[in-house]
Amino acid sequence: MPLNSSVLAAHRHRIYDFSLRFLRCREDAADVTQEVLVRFWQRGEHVEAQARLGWVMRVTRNACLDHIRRKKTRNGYTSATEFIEDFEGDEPSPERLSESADFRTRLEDAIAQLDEPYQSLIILRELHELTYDELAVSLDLPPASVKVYLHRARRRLRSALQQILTAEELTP
Amino acid sequence: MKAPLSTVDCHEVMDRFDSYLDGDLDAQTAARFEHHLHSCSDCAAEHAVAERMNQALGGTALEPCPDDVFVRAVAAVTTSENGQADRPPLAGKRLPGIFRWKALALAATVLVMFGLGSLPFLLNRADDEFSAEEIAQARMEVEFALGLVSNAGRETGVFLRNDILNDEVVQPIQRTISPIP
Repeated sequence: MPLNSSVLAAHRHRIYDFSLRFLRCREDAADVTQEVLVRFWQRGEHVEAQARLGWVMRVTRNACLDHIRRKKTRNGYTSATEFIEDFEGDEPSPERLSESADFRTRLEDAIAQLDEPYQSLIILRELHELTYDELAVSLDLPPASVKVYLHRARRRLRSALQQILTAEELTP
Repeated sequence: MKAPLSTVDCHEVMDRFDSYLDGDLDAQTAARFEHHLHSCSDCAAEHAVAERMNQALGGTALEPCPDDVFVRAVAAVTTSENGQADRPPLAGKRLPGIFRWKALALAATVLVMFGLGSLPFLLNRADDEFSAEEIAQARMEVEFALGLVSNAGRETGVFLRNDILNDEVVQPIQRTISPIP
């Protein structure tokens, strides 16, 4: 018996948000979200309710990574970062241009520049507020290592921000 | 630069920075941390970034999934469940036309009855009587129904093309037109 549609609906915003932050392209995020929702519908019933969020975010992250790999192969990119830079260079949205000085935009840029699994850790912990156990399932990490990885992720992000922000911008 | 503290140094501050920010340190250790932050510019700068970062991240709402993405996913699921997804357009076993029309008519009737049946209930209640959960549930059900309707629409298109245009119009015409000798 497939999942109830309300379970599917309840997770859709998380799936889309993560995909959008990871891929930084609405069209690609929509494709990945649709793909994950179908997979969730078909296989989610076999996952225990309390492990469902971690599972679905793992499926989403893997789908995003696959999407980047496919696109890299198709377009000849050599790294995910290069793909992101190229995408941003081609289509700078009006919002991004007008908000280029905004702290939040620069923070999101800094998050996007983090390597994996640090980028996913920051998105899932700081924005989606997943628990350590859910993070371990999402990122396929040993539960005992999650805190260590998260510590490194935050430190890398702070270091990146310190390099790109001026002293004025660091003052709330 | 480096604070000459006997109780806590930069290395320890960096190691336990997250615990401090998360409020997981005991009061005494937290006080020592704060003392160090006041006397060490490096750690104070790191702390300022962290505070600013947490402030910005804390107020960030999740990007909502567009309705059409959800509707398309539901349509893909229902298509897949009906075994239609991988079937070539003109191949495979289909229900006879009359039964397919009946199935579509039945689906449409159910949707209309559902809508009409809800009317008295909706008209007798003031807007503010609906909770946020009820509204969210109703919205989700409507989206789900739209997905089904979208799927039915596509099925109807396939039926019109295959069974009506091809079987009832194109092929009979082809049979009646004899090739030019």
